[in-house]
Amino acid sequence: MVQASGRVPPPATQGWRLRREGTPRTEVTAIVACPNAEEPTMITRVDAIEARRLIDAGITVLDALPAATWRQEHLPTAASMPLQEFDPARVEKLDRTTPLLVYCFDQHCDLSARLSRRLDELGFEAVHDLIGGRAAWTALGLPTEGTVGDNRRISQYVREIGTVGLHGTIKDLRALPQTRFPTPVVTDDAVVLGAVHPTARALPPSTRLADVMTPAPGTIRPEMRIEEVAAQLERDGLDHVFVTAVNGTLVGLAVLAELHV
Amino acid sequence: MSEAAIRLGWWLSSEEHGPRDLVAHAMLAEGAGFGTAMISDHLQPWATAQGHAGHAWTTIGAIAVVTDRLEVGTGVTAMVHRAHPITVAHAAATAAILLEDRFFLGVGTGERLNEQPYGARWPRPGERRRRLADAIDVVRRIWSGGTVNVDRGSWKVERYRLYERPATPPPIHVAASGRRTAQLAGTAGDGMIAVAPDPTLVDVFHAAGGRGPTIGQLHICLADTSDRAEEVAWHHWPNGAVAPALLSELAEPTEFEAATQHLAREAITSTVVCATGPAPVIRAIDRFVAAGYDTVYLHQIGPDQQRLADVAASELLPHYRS
Repeated sequence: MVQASGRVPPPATQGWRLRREGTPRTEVTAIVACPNAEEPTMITRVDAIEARRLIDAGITVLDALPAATWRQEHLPTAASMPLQEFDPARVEKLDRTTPLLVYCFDQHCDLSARLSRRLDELGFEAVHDLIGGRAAWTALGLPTEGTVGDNRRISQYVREIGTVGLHGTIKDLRALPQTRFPTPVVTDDAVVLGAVHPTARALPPSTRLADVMTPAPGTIRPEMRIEEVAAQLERDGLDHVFVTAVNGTLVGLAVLAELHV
Repeated sequence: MSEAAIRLGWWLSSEEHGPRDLVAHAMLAEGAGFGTAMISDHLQPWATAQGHAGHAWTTIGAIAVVTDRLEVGTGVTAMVHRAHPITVAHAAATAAILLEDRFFLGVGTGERLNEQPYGARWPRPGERRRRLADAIDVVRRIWSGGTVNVDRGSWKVERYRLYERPATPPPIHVAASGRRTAQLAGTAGDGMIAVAPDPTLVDVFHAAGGRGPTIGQLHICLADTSDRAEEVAWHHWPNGAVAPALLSELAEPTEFEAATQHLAREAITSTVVCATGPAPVIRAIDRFVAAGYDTVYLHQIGPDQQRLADVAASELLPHYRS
């Protein structure tokens, strides 16, 4: 059960490692649980919200994806460091205590896991690996840079809409301007927990929203391209949809007629 | 800004009540303050325990004579094999005249239960939707006057002219069970009828250009105790526990009984509000309204129709008049 490197991920990471045996074979032959790390690596797995905080604080960001992919789209300030072309000379001059944030494509991609291990082996002491990769970042509606850019993402096309609080009543709904669209019912931090249609304005004013709302209105993620959104809406026979970040917070309302595709 | 009022309707279940009782129930509904009623259009009951299936159109004629203000519509009339659009256009036009514009035509893609006795093949949902879309078109052309010839699509009409024609053609409300029928309601209907508080159907209906009433049907059973309510609902409405996918596919009442024989009685509470008072009914109506429905028909299951009239007059109707 001892791994070749003698090092295991700390329990705060995933607690699992895949062990492969035999060079030509690539299938997984055993899954080994490593709940108690004796010698933890210095790799910290962080979610996209924490990654954003780190980037805002000026962390050095490394993109493990191929250079062409980086050119299309990458996290703000990210430098391209494709694992395929990794050369230790590129990081030779970097102070080993420099905090690094590494990412790749999504939760199925292992490029950043392997790049962060490589950096760890080279002695870097503060390596951070973004859980869920670039996909987790864009699913929160966070900005990216690159040739593709953000300008065709649905997050750039949504309209702002009024919301009502989960603990509110129909009286609060009536206080909003009339609209033909459903109104999201949200928590204090804008997580969409339900929706009510305009017909609900006719209910007695003291009716509690939480008792009558539709519990799970359909939503899409902010990084979707407007062409994809338009195609999906047309396929579903809809003319609008709520846009929420992957943590459920409201970004806005996408209206088919306003997607100039 | 004043809000559009919520309308409550009375459901006349022609599977559960004889035609003379249905006429009396329509009077009861009007007396209680309901503005609208919908009558089911069945050839046979879902379950033998229901025991009735009078001819809806004939019953509507009688209701027209004994009511003054109550709107009455079919819920719903299918045009698959049993009813040709000429027959429906003809009957609906006469109903609209008798009711002096208090009539609406509810239409749907049908159930095998009401079509199989004609001995023809039971078409799949897509074909039934096309037949319905074509039928709505034919009905509207007949209502618009003049001699109608149709020789394409699902139906044939050979030089027919409707002589008994209301000044204003009645609205057509289309029953929607999924996206495609909701789209049809939006493109071809003057309103939509649904059996669950599904907000997506409303959104699809509107996105397809639909305007007009968004109608929900709510099954309830009010009784002295909730145990009694469940018992009545289970006995008189076992089809309420049959999976929706099967409802349109079974051919005989005995098949509905077979589909429910291994279910526990509680299964009925998934589609029927079994209650002793108005509060759970109000909550269920509210959910329809919050999901985008402006009209909700109440179907009180079982013989005790007076109870709905009483609860509606004293509690339900005043609650939504606020």
